[in-house]
Amino acid sequence: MPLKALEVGFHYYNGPWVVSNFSFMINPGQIIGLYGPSGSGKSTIARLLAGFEKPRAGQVLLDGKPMPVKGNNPVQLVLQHPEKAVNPRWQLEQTIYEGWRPNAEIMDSFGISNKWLKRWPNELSSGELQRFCVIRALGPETRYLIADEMTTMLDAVTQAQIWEAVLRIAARRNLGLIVVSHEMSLLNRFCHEIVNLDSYDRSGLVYN
Amino acid sequence: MSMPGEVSGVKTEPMLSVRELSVSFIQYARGLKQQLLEVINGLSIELYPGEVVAVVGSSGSGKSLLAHAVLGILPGNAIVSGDMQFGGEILTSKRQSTLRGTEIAFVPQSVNYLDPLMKVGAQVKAAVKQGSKREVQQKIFKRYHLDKNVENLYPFQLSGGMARRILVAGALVGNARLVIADEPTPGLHPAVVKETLHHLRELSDEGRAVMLITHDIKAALEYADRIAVFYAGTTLETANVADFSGDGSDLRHPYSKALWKALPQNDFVSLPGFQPASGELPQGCLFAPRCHMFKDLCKEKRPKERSLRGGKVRCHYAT
Repeated sequence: MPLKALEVGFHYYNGPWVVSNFSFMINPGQIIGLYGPSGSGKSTIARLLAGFEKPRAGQVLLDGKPMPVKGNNPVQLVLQHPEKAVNPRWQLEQTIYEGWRPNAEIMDSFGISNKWLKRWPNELSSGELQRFCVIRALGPETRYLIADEMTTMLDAVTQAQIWEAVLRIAARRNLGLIVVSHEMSLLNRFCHEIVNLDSYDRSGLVYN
Repeated sequence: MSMPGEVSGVKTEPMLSVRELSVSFIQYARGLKQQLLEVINGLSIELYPGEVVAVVGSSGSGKSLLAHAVLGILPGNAIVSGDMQFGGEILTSKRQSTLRGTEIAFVPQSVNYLDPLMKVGAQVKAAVKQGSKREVQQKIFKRYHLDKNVENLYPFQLSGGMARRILVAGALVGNARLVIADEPTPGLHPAVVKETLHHLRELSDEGRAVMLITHDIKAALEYADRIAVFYAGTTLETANVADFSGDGSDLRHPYSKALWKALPQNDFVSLPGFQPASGELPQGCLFAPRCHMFKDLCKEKRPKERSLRGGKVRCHYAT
């Protein structure tokens, strides 16, 4: 079941087009990198593909159909700042279990200590929190994972640790991965294909 | 290669010297019961005039807290001990408050540090200490590719990248002798990143000292003279830039080597486990639970910082 964007365009209310005429396709098991400088529309595309924004033109199709509106989203998005993506008044246990109940093996592969489950978000560092955000997104319904600068704020050791675990799980479950990053060396490391938004034809971007 | 602080053979005094710094937070555990949470322990670092020292290391290892401790802007429940000197004199909280913004400039990590109710042009002008405030501000706006009309905007009207450039501009227009930049570049366009780091290098070449806190090791290598590696609230190693090359065998501490090897352009291998949380620090070496060189002594005794091959390391067995 491929995830497709067909000539998608997007602008905020009354604003200029930030994405226009963008087409994209990914199949299960594929890893595609999305590269571009800040302001090139990377994050907007990630939000469109995950159904967080409705395209103003074109459409996003999962398995040929529009995204399901009920249940857990099969296209999950992980963001750059984990501290903004968790409820500060929930212990992390509650945050994870809202989505699903991962087994001990998955928790171990991300290097999560059992004690952290009872912690509040402000008691963990961003590297530790991001591991929870990634696991939360890897529930059984997930078919595609979009990592929007997922490890940009983390040190290299933690970055490698999180990617090792994600790549292993993605391969085992045949998930499709979209990796949004401005760091080419990271994308070169494991992407099958890299879409460069810098060289992407942006001539269609006109002020409306 | 000359040793830090050696300018044409004459040993100069460090501009900033931090010895055995510890920072703890008082927290309420349950009811009125208080507990101490040690977030920085036994940290030492020195900055000499004319050099850029990059501070890299694990996320949540206390890099920003060091900056805040030097500036004296830690929250009220923080207890600081250890010795901090600026220009050879002890940094008291009174001295800190007169020095910050004048002798010591700071580029904060978060764009929330801008005054939300003041136009950004005026915020930068307020930091100018010499010459015509207006001219200096306009010159630095030009340098950071900020349009003229930006000076009349309020912070909420700026994009993240523009706000960050305002923070950098505001910190660098003054005449500070020490610049502390806490992650000044994420989210910026590559050309602006280069301009910012180049500007910091330029300032240090004029004889100032720059502390560049970053997790971008690549940038640190390009612009810094020395690199301090942080982990769990302390410095595990201070290395020369040239040590970060090849397979990392010139590095001293096993964590620095792991950090180097974990870069995507190198081996992209990680370490199992995680950095110990403050409050649950092991009694011995802080890195022992993840270390492949681990021996009994590491569990019992926390290693002191020692000099090794032109750098410094905190490890019993590093050679």
